[in-house]
Amino acid sequence: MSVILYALSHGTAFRIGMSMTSTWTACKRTIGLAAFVLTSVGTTLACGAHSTTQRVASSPASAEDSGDDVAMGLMEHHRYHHHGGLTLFVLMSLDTISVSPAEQTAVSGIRNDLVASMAPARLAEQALMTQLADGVAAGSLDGQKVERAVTEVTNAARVIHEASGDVLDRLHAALSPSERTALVDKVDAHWRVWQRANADETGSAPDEGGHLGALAAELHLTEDQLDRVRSALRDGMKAVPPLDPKEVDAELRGFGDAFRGATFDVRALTTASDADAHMVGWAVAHLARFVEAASGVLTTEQRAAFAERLRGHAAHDPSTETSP
Amino acid sequence: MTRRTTSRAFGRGFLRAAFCASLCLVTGCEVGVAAEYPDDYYGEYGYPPDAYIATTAPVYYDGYPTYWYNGGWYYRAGGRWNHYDREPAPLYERRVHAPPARRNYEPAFGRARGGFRGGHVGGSGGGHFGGGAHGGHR
Repeated sequence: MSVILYALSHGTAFRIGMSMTSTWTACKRTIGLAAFVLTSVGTTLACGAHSTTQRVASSPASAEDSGDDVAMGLMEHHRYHHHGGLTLFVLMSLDTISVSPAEQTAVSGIRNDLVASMAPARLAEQALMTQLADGVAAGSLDGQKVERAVTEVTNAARVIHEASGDVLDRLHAALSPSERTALVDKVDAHWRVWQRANADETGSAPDEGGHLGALAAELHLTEDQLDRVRSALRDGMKAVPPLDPKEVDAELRGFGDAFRGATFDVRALTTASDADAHMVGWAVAHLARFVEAASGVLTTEQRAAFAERLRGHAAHDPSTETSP
Repeated sequence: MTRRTTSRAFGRGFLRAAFCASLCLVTGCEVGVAAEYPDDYYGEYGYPPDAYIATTAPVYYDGYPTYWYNGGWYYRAGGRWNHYDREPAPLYERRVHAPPARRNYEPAFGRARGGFRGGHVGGSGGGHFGGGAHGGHR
């Protein structure tokens, strides 16, 4: 607007009686300004006024940044549901990808196949959660049984990629290029939220998005309880091989680059099974160690509430609640 | 200098202006407005967080999945978040008549379990518009 006003104010250079020389000078100035104004207006009209924010590697991952219960619910989900690994991220992404009506039938079938491929892992995770809930309620967990359950979830997760067969190929074929982009963005977003929800909390302060932070808020844990949980968790996690986020980063980068492309072959993702097993294995082991650590320091009432929460997650299967 | 000369100068100038405007359109509409924002830009114009992207249906406009967030439409292109300073009419219509759906995966500490809100996921919750030069739809 200021440019337009500037041009109008200088338009007085065309006043009658002005000499030809000064007219020519004014004309040149006005022509230049006109070019600039036309350029600016053309840009604005044609683009719906695009603006560009700063270059980013990712969006902020915290649920608090979203400031709503939907985001908090996602964090809660990622704290307790790990069985499907990266394939679960794909499945969840389909929930909000918003496909065109013509694609809905095909995508719905693909979604069902993904759910089926994860069913054994889902059942194994359900068994683990039930064991943990029973142990918390009783005030004593059977370490050997929990370890077996953890191993079963991990083994089931390792074969999901293979079990899903050509489902991802069919998904790629069913989606438009922009829908593929949306799906990859969502899978990446789920991974970043997942990392925040499963943050290392053995340090001096619990991450607000992590297990301990959430439990502390819900059960009003004292400082002493927090310290004791952290200490027990530190000891418990010593036996768990650490998760290397770079491995999952690389896997997702490979998936994203391939899936956004015009052609896609799921067989090219040769390390997906290992990435799933490492991620899921670490996550369920961490969950078990956390529950074990917390159970030892909670009051009877707190244990009852925590056990109820674990049972709720064992019974809850969001994949049955929606269709794309 | 004659009036004819002046007239020719006008002609060349407007041709130049038209060329600039055309060039601007062809090169992707971001000429002149794609400057990097200052560091505090994020605080004032925060782009959608990951938890929002993961739970919200986009509207496909001009070849991009576009998200209504915090009073604006955002899309990611080439590693950058972009937004529209002026709301495109199709996006306005969609927002008013069929707002993008969000997926609630868990009851957050006693709230109603699961489900959707804010619209329907699928054909009516999100949507496809435009097509543009950036990809498009089938």
